[in-house]
Amino acid sequence: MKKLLIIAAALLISAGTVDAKWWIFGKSKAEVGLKYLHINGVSADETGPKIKLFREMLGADGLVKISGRASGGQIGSVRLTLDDKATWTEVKLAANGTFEQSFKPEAGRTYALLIEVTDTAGKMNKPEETRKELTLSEENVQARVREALDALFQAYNAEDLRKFMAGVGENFAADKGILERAVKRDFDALSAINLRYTLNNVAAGAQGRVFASITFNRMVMVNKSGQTSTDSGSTEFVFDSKEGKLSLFSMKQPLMFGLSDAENVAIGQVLGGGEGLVIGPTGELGGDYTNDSFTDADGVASYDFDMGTEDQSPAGIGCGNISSGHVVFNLSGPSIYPASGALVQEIPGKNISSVTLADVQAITGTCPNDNNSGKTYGIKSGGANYAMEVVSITGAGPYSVSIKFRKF
Amino acid sequence: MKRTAAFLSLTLACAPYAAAQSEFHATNEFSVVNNSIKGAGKASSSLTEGNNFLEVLNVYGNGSKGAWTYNYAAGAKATDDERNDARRVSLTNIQARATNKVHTLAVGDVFESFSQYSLATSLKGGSYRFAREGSKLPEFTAVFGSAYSRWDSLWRDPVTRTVNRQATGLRLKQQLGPDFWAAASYVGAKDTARVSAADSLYDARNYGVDFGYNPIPGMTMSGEYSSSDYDEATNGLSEKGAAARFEITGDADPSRVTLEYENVAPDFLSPLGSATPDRRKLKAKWRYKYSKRVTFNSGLLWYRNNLDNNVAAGTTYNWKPELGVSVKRPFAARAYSNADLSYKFDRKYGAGSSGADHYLNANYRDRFGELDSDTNLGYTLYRTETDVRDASEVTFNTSLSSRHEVKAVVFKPSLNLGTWYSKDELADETDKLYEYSLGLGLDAPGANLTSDLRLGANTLKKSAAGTDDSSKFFAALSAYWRPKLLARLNESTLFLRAGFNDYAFTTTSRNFREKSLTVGLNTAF
Repeated sequence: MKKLLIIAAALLISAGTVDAKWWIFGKSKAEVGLKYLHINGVSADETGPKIKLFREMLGADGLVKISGRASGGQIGSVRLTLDDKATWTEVKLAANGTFEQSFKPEAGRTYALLIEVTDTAGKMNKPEETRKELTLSEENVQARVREALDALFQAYNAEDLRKFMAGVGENFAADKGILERAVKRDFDALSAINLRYTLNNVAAGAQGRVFASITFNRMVMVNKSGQTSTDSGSTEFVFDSKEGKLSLFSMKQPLMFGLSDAENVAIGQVLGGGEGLVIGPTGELGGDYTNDSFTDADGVASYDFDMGTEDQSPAGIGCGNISSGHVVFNLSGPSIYPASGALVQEIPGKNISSVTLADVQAITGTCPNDNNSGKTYGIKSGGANYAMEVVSITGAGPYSVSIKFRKF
Repeated sequence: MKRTAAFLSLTLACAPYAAAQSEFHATNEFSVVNNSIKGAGKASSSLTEGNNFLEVLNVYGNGSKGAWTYNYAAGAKATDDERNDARRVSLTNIQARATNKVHTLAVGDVFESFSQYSLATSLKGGSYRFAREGSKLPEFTAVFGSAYSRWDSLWRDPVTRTVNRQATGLRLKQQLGPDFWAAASYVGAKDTARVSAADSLYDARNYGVDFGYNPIPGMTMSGEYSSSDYDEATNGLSEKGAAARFEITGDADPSRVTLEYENVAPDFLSPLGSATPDRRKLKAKWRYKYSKRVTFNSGLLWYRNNLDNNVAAGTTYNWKPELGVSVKRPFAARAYSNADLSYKFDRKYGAGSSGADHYLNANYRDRFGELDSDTNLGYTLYRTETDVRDASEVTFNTSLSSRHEVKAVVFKPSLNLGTWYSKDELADETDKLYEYSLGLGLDAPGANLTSDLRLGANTLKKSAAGTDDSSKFFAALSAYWRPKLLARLNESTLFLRAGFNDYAFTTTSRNFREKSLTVGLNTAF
């Protein structure tokens, strides 16, 4: 960490003093111009030529704040226009070249902003290089979030990588390059993708960012297995508005996009949201699950699915008569017992990789009268959802049991 | 909580009438859908059979009273389709903000994005900000609330309840010079109300500093350092960790250069921020406009884990270089031609894994007479030395579209063709996918009508024994109409969406068909 701080300090000092022609490619810092320009706190370098603003992104006073710093020797004046040079306003300039100006925009009107910097010798910048078109949208920010989400969902459904990545911001928190490769892998692994959503919650805030939470419903065909898979749930996105439109900044698990590298694409997990669909390195569906196996002599074994431990002599057996957070296998029965209030039911045609949260949420049964090898069960217990695949049960006392367990 | 809700309701109820200078807007969307699913495999459908409705209402407005200005927003959703929402009626949004240019208060949905590692999520609660323009006093922000993504989780609705993550945040930001600012943040997160016995309960504190600096025109620097200290009750953990990131961006024609460094300790935790623990990352990107027609993009991303050498399997390293070129008018005679070529490489090794994947993609867009074309050819080689995957895949897509005006009607026909071929060397199996679709858009601006009809099919052919071939035929119609009768309701739009999907498999017991019809009205005033 010390090395990092030393390097950072060195860069800070040197960047302020060196002539950085290596990356500007000939642009002199002595030219009259703008050192920086911020429009409502967002650097103009990071916006496109057209900026769409929403009421929710303005301050509560409804003002757009333009601030910046003029550069290039002794600055005489800074003027700005909001109507494409028809009228100019001289802005108050501090001794160090900084300035700030606010205006209250009208919804639906476009403001052509240009800034003219003049030094005391009469040398001017090129105002056209500062040109930005500002519009205050009449829409509620929710409409813009829906537009951004619609574009992402449609491009993903159509497996159009170029259009999809056009909706992702350059500053995507988990790295745009990682997401692009993961989505490409998704498209190779899936077909007949059908994602739908409804908005749960939208909040616009500081730094021009917008938070959105959705309920989603999804069906995909997995090319490798030829199987379809459906799931539904809630997830969260954060959008950036730096590039003149809302672009994706971050996603949480359960992920909608980039399922092939979920670990690196997602930034955290929605509280209570689970993992959702993920695609493994071979192109097949596969979430994180635990393998477990145990032996039991008398044919009645209790499995604590939170702790992953077995009790060969449970205190109680019978439907609804066992400890919370456990399932009891009556191996000679055969049957599976849940705790009181919990549900256990077979989910036909699914294995631990293809079973989804929606499958588990749909179960209503309590005590299935079987526990044959190869079957997958959903378990709802204490508000949480689980899936269990009974891989094998062999022997006749002692029994050998092998299971896979997954929490959503 | 009841008091907060009552206050919010009162604020919203009074706000439109509190002053003469106020605005009030509302949007409403109501739709009903009928889904019909037939066939032995209908359980695989993601639609809810029968008739359902969806109602989404949002109101927002602003105004002023004396030195204070305010704005507010609220929204609700109602549906009887669990796939639209687990709740039949839910509050989607509620927020009120007021400011006198120095003090700003917000309640309801508050999204005070402090910095990446500290606070980057929305809260249900309140915030206060002090910022006096032209003063040397620092900007101060305080925020509190719960990090629920839904309002009904707050009142412990049995369907949507989750762990309660209570958040408190403080931030002090100071302009230290005309080009340099720095800020210090504290964010605390405390979890309570476990839903299941295995739920983790964190009690975490994050202390951080971040800065922004514009040393020369076009160059921005930003960075952040954050330290975390947390206890986790379920597994009895207590850990401390730190994260740091630093970024320089230089942007002036003809180049844009970005350099990034990040180091996140394995035990760093940011329950309300954004960080991937146990990662050291370096990234460089360079976009260079060689000429008005040619732009080069290059990038290199490197990252590794196991920063404290505690991962039993060892360290995994990742290299991800990429190179691309975009050419406008590659053929001088073709004014609308565009070509993109890109190559990406993924190298991952260590911890028992070793992979080298290559992605090559070429895209060409052009206009031939009245026909716009967009063609994409991609080749991907997935190769591991650990026999996890060894496959080559080719994708090809082309689309042709056009636009024709006939009197007051605009016709927009389109055709899409695509194929995907995958050869799995390990399993010695081949998969092929063919798809086509035809579209016809029809706009009648004079009648305020836009519509789109699309139909097509895709077929997946698999060579592996025991796997199904499958095909999907689909047709979809969408139409949006703003009739003059509804002109009084400002931006009212009637819409209709109809869809038909027919899924067929080698195992015919998996076949099913979906028919869906949605009609709705969207109103804004």
